[in-house]
Amino acid sequence: MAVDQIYLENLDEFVNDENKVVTYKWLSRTLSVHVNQAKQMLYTFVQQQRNKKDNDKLSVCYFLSGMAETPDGGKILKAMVVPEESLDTMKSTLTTVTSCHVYSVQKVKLKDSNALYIADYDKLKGSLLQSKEFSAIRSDECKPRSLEELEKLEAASHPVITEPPAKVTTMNGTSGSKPKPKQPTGIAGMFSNASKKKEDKEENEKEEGKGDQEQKETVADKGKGKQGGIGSFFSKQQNKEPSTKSETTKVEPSVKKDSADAVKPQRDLNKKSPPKRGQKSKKTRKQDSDEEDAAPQKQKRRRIQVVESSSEEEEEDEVIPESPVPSPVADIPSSPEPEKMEEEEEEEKVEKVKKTGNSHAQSSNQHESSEKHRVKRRKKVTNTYMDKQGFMVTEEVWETASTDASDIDEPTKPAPVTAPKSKQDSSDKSGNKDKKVQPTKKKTSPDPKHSGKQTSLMSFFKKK
Amino acid sequence: MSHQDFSVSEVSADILCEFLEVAFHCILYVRQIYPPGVFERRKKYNIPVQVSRHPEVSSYIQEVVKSLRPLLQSNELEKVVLVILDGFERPVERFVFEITTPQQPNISDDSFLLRIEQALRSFILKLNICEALLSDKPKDCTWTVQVHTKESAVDTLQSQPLIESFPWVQAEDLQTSMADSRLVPLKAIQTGLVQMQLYAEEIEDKT
Repeated sequence: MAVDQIYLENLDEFVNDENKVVTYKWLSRTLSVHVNQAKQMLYTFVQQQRNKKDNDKLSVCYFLSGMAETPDGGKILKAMVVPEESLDTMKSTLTTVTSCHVYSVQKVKLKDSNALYIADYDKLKGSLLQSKEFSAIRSDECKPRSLEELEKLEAASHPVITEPPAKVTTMNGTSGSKPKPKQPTGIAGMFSNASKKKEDKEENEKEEGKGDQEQKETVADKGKGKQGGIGSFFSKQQNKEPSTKSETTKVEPSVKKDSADAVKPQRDLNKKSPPKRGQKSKKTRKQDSDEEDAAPQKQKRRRIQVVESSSEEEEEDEVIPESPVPSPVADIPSSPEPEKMEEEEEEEKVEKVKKTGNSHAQSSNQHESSEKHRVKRRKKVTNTYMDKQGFMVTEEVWETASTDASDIDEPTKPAPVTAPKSKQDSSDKSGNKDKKVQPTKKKTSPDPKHSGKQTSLMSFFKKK
Repeated sequence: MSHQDFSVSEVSADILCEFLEVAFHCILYVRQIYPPGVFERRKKYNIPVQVSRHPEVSSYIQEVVKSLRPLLQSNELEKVVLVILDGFERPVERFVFEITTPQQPNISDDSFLLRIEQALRSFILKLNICEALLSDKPKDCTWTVQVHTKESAVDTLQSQPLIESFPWVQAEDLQTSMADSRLVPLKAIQTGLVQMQLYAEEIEDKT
């Protein structure tokens, strides 16, 4: 009791002298007491002030929750913060009152809930990651993550996930704010567990519901012992002391906050969503790669990335022709598989096709695409030589470790080479040797990569 | 270095302008100058604030704050006062923002401006609950904004084209002086960027 006296004096100071808005949450954190004790203190304080000290200037807000009927005949659980004047009217709107306790005490008559939110804001934000020993919400399943889990989430958080828009709509759509996509950490974790249970239990609750709740004390309880409300769900599930608390009020401000700035935090949280989402296979593969990449590079990366299944390879073949200037500057230190090189070389080839309109390259491209499936280790070597007519010819030939591909390759290649050659000769006789040289030059300019003369990162991979 | 200072002072001027706009709306709401239905809830500094929806009110406040900006930047602004006048054009209440910018504003220790945000949040909270400290005011009040500054600043200000579309006039004595006023300190902050003090003055007898 002596301890209480000191607390009450503190309260007196806070409310009367400093003109603060004292909510039970704030009080519990400031004085390091359990929330139920804080509620009790507020109540006693109000009684004392009004009865003994004739201080009528106090304005009190109550937290009220209970069952109500919807117009369709269904039942809903309502939780609200009401000013004292409306307390009785609001109570009458509820069929059963499951919880009613003091929410805040202040000297000023509040116009709206803004001040209540602001009053708690800094304190709550500051203590987000602290222990919840003062809270009445409990869950056995809510445990801090192990280091391994954290690391896994770190890795999974790197790829940018395009899910947020979908998640935002679900977030805003459900009043119960199903934070399933959220990663449970701290308070958010409690909510996700809590709300999951709430969803599960709401059906059960409706069946068992009324009888159970009537057992609990309703109006004007002193904040001790049984205050049902949301806590009753948990008590059923875990056979624990019914934990009270405005889990909902906590959810409310956080829902407001969430829906208000839904997109950004959603994004941040969704980034950490577990790698269960196998659908996003391409993006999860990016885990190993680039934080350092420039954004446009990233875009290209997704298409060009190493692909494990053949189906996706074909997809990428279609994609590759559309991509802009190839990114030979591969600053990703991921394991340079020859397949990758091939893909990028193919890309260049396609580029050449566009630029030069040379069917020769195209045909060789097709050959390569078919060969990709069969042979893993292949080297593409370009031979540049002067042919009979005096035109520079660049020939790309596959040299491989295994014999199959190379044997098939070489006989086919000279044939298409010669055929288009004749076409070209006839068309370009107007003497634009420069033109002819230029296209080939264009071909050759990216080629030096293969010979390793120009410094580019492709050569780096090649030599590996 | 001077370039660095220049941009910091711009930043601080911007921050203060935003804050003044929000604060004016807040005062209008809390003191019930306009019916509460005119206000809608918006978010600033991560807290809900009431902002007037009426286009003329909000544009007026915006213009006022915009024209204050050059003064803020050059640190010539002494006080900004939101005065509430009664039906006889006598000031009944005054909310005074005293603003001083240090010579070398720096945000080195608050690079995310978190502390400034926190300080401004506490200002708004105090405005929300200032009613407890002030007595009720009569109905049919109007309001105006007064600025205390140096005379040289007034001259430069008036020559700017921006101001010509929204001119400031010298305040009448009737509107500036308050007889028998009581001073109620509300909040004071001191940050690297700005030092601001908010207090309210009200006359004893408001009828």
